[in-house]
Amino acid sequence: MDKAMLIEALGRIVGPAGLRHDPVDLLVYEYDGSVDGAVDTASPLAVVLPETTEQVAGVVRLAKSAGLPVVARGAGTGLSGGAVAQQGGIIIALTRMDKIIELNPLDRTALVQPGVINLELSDFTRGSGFFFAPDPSSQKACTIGGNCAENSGGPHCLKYGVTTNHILALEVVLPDGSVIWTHSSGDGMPGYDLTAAMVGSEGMLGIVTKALVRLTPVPPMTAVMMAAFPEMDGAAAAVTAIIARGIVPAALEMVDNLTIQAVEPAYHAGYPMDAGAVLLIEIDGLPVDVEETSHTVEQICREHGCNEFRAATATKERELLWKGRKMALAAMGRLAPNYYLHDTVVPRTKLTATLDRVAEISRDANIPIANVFHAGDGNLHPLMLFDRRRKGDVERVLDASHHLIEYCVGIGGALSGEHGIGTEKRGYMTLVFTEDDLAAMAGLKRAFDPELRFNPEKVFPKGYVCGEVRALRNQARAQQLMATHDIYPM
Amino acid sequence: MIRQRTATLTELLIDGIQPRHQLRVESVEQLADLLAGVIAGGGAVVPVGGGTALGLGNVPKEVQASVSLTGLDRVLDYEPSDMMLSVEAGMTMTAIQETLGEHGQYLALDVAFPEKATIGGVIATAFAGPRRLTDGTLRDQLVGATFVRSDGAICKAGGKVVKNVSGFDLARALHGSLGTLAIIASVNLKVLPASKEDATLVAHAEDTDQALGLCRQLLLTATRPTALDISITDDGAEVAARFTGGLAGVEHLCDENRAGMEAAGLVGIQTLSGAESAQWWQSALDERAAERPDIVQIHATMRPSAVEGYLARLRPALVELAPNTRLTVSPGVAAVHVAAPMRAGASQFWLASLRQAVAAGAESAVIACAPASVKHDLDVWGEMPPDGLEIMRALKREMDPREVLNTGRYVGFI
Repeated sequence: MDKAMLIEALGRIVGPAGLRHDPVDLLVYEYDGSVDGAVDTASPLAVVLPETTEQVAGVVRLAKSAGLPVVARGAGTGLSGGAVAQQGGIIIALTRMDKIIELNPLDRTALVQPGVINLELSDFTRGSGFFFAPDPSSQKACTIGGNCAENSGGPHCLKYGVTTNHILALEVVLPDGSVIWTHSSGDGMPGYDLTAAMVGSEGMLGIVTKALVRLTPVPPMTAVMMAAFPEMDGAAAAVTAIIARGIVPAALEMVDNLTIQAVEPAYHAGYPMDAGAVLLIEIDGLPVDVEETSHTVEQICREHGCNEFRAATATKERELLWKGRKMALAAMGRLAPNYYLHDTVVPRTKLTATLDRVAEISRDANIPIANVFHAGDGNLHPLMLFDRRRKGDVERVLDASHHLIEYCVGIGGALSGEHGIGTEKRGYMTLVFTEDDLAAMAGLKRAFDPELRFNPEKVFPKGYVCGEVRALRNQARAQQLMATHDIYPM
Repeated sequence: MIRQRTATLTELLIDGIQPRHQLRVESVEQLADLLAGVIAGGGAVVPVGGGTALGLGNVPKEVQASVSLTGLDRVLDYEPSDMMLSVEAGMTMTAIQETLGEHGQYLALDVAFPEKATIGGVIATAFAGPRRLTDGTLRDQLVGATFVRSDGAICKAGGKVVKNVSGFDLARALHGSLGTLAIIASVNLKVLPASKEDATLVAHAEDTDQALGLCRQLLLTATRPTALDISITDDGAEVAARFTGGLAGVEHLCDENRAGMEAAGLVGIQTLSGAESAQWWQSALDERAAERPDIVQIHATMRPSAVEGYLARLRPALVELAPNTRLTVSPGVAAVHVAAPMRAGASQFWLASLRQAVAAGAESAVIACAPASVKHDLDVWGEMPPDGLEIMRALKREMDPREVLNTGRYVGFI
């Protein structure tokens, strides 16, 4: 099938309004939200914007007969290159499938199409007393389908869990164009938990066309506290102490001094400019419990050197305190033209040591690193600040990244807490997983997609799914011996 | 590897079939060696934990070996401040809760016979008691696993931190897989601070409708109970609501809900607190889940909003088919547990008819326990194959190409 025939056939399925193939129109689909340089851009042959499951299935069947790769895409806010069509082919953008089909308060569920925007779902359900708990920073733009693909997190995951804990069933278009509903073993449904397999599979197993999501009741009371500390160490110790006391805050976030310098002058959240670090602590539940717990949290913070503490229960004040955290990335432009955002996770008890190591890496590489992150669950977000135009900056950032990832993995952490592996971190997978581990994952891939056409070049180190094991073995050995300092060896 | 010939294990039967070999392992390496040595196509290799749910699954054709995992009973890593516990699969739930309890923490799950049930078995069977209403299942707490494939390869997925999107989530995919993909050797679990207070309200309702009406009210509040069950027998309906959390909060919820129960017309309201509350739920769960030759258990699921209509259809159907059946309804998670006394001379046809009645209007109806003589040839997991069965078969081929792990016992006789 030549390109003209393909375009015509796609047009017949999705209509002219749902088809993009002009090179200029395709430019925006060459990227996602990840940093240029860490992820290669690539252009698809065509982009389709279907409106129904049948259209998605039709496009997938056409791609199968043409032997083309298929890449599903939501809002394109991903941070690991997951929505970039590395091998070309067809991008299926699901943003026009944006209907909330049903809301059921007794079941605490909503049935939604994949293009529904995360925040819009929460806004829609709040009137009925519910919200959708996963709240990634991109929640104003990112879609539920994308959240499923990446198993997205956000600040409130500490108490409420990540996306996989909130997805009950999925309608999925499989690589052969058939459509199934997956169910969850958590609901007592028989059969392998294909919902668990799908969530976080980065679009490599199937395309979500409907999701039955769990809704969480808006708690009767919410309190947000800001605790400022002279040093980061004190703040990190307070984090550990709060958890050790048996308190599970709804969110527990840390903002370091460098971030405060960027965010406070722009958004006036009320973070002291001279603080070494600020903790944002959100407690929710029954009023009696919230009051008691808030008091304990203040006490713990003061014991660990907190010199300024403020609590807010009114919505407006709470939102202002949160604003500094939520706008941190947007404010980074005040400090440097570019940043590279990491997403490693470490055990909470290793937080202090890890922050020390981050500071050391920053000094050694001469790259400022800002820390604004989900402290409660150990999910770091070091922002490496640089200037792409300055000679040597990119290399130093990549080198520093390598040291950071190596350290976090070495102390029992994870490569990525919520951003995904994509193409960005696939080269690092062998730091964490053995050949046998990856072979088991590849088995799952082949069970869904034996022709390996859904979102190729993601998650697995190059060539691995189709069995270039020997190359992988050598690569693993090389990485373990730290013989390579090239961040993207493949 | 230890070949058991002791009195305790000689009676082990898998649906009436005696394994040709009864084996026990004490390390993951032993497990790997054992699996590497089993015979492809030589019959099922059945992993066994505490043996509390051996009745779940289709009747296997042959069993070449049972593998007891109770020798894998060590804590591998526990750092209370990380709220993360790493344990071997054969550790019992009681041992786990005791370990955690010393540090004021617990694993959010209630199971039947916790002193016997192993964590690996609970994951494989996806068992979850009434606390599932607020705590979810182990699917929610499971953040990583080490498992052994039938070729002896030792693999891991996930990790030891709660937030982790590095690679496919194979650990969660093992939840409810009945050991048919791989044998779980160890798991990493998210744990929580233990509740300070535990209280239960138990009350009698005039009839099922009254009980369901009250539950509906309770379920529509933001402060749902931790667990909520209705036990329905021919004598009436009993509602139990459990509240856990901080001292002041639990007291407040108990007062509020007691008043709600009175207003709804329920009678004989009792308040149980502390150990008494916990004991009440444990006894109820043990009684319900006990595998007995004279009781058939079927587990039906649906959406909560479908429960009322479902029960209205099911109850008349049971009058003739299975008198004296006890129904335990968890309206919040929409699970209905059917415990039907075996009829004298009951046949496979009877069980199939009973399951058909239980399945009507439900999303699934799994025969959790029935004598092999009546369930033989039935797919206990459901009359109709689930969506995605072809993917499931393909996954089985990929993970267990030699087709030995609990072969024949799973959905669609996988």
